[in-house]
Amino acid sequence: MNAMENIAHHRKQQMRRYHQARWDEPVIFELSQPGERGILVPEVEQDIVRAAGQPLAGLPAAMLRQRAPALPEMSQNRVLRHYLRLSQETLGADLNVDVGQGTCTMKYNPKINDQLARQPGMAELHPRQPDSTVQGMLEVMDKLEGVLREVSGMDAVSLQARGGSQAIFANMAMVRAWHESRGEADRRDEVITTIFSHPSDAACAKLAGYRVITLYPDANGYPDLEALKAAVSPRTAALVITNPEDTGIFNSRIREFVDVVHAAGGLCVYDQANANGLLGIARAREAGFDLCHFNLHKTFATPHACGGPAVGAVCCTAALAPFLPGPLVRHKDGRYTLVDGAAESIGKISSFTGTASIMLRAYAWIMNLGAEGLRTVSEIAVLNNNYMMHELLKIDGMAAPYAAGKRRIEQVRYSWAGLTEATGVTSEEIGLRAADFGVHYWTSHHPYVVPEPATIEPTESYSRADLDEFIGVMRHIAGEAHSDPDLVKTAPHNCPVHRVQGEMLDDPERWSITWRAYQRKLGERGLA
Amino acid sequence: MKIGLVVNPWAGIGGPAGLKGSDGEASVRTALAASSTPQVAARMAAMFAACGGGAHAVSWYTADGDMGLCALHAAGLQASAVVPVASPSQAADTRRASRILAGMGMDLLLFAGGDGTARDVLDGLRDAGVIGSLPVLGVPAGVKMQSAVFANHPTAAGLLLRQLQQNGLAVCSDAEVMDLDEDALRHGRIEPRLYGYLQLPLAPSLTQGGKSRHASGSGAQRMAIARGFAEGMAAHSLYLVGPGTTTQALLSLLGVDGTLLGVDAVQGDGTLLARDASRRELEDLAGDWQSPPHLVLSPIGGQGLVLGRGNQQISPRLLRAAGRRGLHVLAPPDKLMSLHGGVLRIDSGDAELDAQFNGYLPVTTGYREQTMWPVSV
Repeated sequence: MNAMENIAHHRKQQMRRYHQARWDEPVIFELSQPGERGILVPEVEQDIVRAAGQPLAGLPAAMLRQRAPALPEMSQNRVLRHYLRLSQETLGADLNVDVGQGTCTMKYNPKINDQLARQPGMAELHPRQPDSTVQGMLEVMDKLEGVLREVSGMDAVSLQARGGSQAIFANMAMVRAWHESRGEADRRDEVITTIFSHPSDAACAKLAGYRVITLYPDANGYPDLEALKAAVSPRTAALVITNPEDTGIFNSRIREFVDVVHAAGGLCVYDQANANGLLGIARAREAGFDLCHFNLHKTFATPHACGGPAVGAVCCTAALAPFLPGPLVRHKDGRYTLVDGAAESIGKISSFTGTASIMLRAYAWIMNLGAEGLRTVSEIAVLNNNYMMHELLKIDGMAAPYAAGKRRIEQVRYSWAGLTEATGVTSEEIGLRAADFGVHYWTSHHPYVVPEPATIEPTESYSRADLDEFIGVMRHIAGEAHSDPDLVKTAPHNCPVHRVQGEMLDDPERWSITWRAYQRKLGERGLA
Repeated sequence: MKIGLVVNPWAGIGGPAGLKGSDGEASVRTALAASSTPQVAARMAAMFAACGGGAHAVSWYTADGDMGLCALHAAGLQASAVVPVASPSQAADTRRASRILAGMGMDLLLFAGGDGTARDVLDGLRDAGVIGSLPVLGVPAGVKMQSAVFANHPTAAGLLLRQLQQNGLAVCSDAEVMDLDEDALRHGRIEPRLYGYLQLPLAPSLTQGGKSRHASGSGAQRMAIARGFAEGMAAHSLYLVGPGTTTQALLSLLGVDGTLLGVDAVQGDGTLLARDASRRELEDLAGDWQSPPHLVLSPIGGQGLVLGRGNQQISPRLLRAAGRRGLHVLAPPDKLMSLHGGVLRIDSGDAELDAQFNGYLPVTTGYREQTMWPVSV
């Protein structure tokens, strides 16, 4: 072993000595100093006042503010410091080996695409500009739709929804519009989904007014075909399902599911939240679906942006196309125009079109990879995931329930139940301890169908060395659970905030998501 | 955190002797003569081992001697206060100790025993007036544990205790206490009935963290289930509503003064037809009705029995008349997931009829929410 190899070997054996930053940074409103400014704008010279007159004089009095807005008053360097400090207190996607938030893992968002989106010509676009002045952006949308038609096999696309859940809601609204067009909307009031599908599927169906029937998996972890057969009826409006489900298990009998629902007169909606392992390999169309949607942030490497603004692409067959939300892009004689949805359209799902900067990023990412490249993305994501599963399952107490011996697609829902039984250390505590080594970790949606769950999704973005670091953290913590369980049970130790009192987030009386609400609730408690 | 501990030292003693329980002095004498050794000490030790250091951060209140203090001392723990008990202890002592400890302002009452002990604890809490407010957790140590107030095993009880100690008390859920007549059981008859409800803390891992949080088993959730079901009720149909807090929520929603532990007959428009009705009354009502009856039932936690425990008033004849279309099961999702064996069961007394219900049954789990759950007789 030479010197460099020796150093590399040594580093591999060491756990990262991470410690999260703590700045004890107040909320920005609390930092405000009256009169403090970022820029001192000089007084307007008299010549200019004379030439320009009073520019606000023409505004109706009722439209003029009576009071200045209650914004924080701060110098530029204090603003910069404030946000840099906050950024150091997070474990963001660009800061850690971010494979621990399975089902929502962020793949790498190439920074060159951010630069494209920030060009003045993009950043200054306005949705009310005449079509003739946004031909470039409309062309990008048209071509992105073309790519999504190809990837899904569907005939038509709308890019109007501002995120995945909004796209699912649009799909549900289209299901209703379809049944209405056939005079069956009143009779068909049930939507079927599965417990391991994207939870937004059940939520959006319900928001759209449907009763929801949830199927639990069979003994092997697959969606239960017999349960589906028991659930379908003349009341069935649609099946909404993810494949692979959040277990990472691909349901190869999906066509039979679709056929059972079609035979009962229902539609089939494919939630493609877990599409990252399927690009160029399997399509919604071949499985017989009528509708599907993609989250551009999950599959096509655009920022998630903390719940938006994003883009959820709605794709459908020609039969469903008249119901798509508008405005839609049309291309004729070399000109691009935006048109409203058809007469039977569900209408608008948001104002204007989808977020332009996100669509540009996704388009740039796709065009850089090409068709072959997209397939390679999926192949590497699946390879990474199965490498990770192979290594993680060597850890005593870690299991991948269901479908024994089968490979997974792009993620795995693991179970630490064996470790918990042997040591008393729970999955949630493993996650808290993982934060001591600078990695984020997530358990699962609720209810926990898999006991002591962990959901890990490596995507194609991470190298083998990255994955080995994450695996090393898991192995190390499992070892600690045996040798020093109290160390794990009392974690985190290297994070400035020990444990967050989660119940605050459940209590409408105490949660505050705005500064005003915070002030009001403090006042109500006599604490302001 | 203040925890009261009551141990039934005789719990489980009748099991090895095949006595189907340890109720009564005579049983204990018979069991001792057959050299059955009480197992409760080993179970308490396993519970404390799983609880680990968490047990030392708790203020313990208990009863004297082998009704609690011995178990604490064996685990190296001290008690803040001790309720005096004469030796040997009686069932009445469990009831009295539970009442006195409850009066001392506990956060949780931990007990070790079986169904009989759970019944005595319930009586004690009723005496103290804290039946709906003081959470209870059972360490399984008895012969029969039909009641849903027990952890799956002593280690699970210890783990839950540690989580509660670290994270504070989580959401509580109503858990059934079953009353099984041991004399009848010894003569081969299973005639359990629902004795009442205690508050069982749910493991925080089941109720907290992550993306979605719901107060499972809470009043709001039961009301959501009730609203979802009530939407589909037909005004002129007959509904036989079984015991349970979920079905009780439906009755309150309908404005019906029904019973928690009995079977009530109501018309779909909310008219109460019979309160706490007997099998005979129910059969007569259904016989005179022009359309088949609807059965509205909630499974017993743990056992998963939809029929045959606590609702024997509903006869095979009524079940046959209702059929698959008329059998409605209401339950929160976590109750379904906590079922031992993972399936719902039907034990109406007519095995051939019960077998017709094998397969999948829609269970109402929330407002406009159902799940297909396997039934296996």
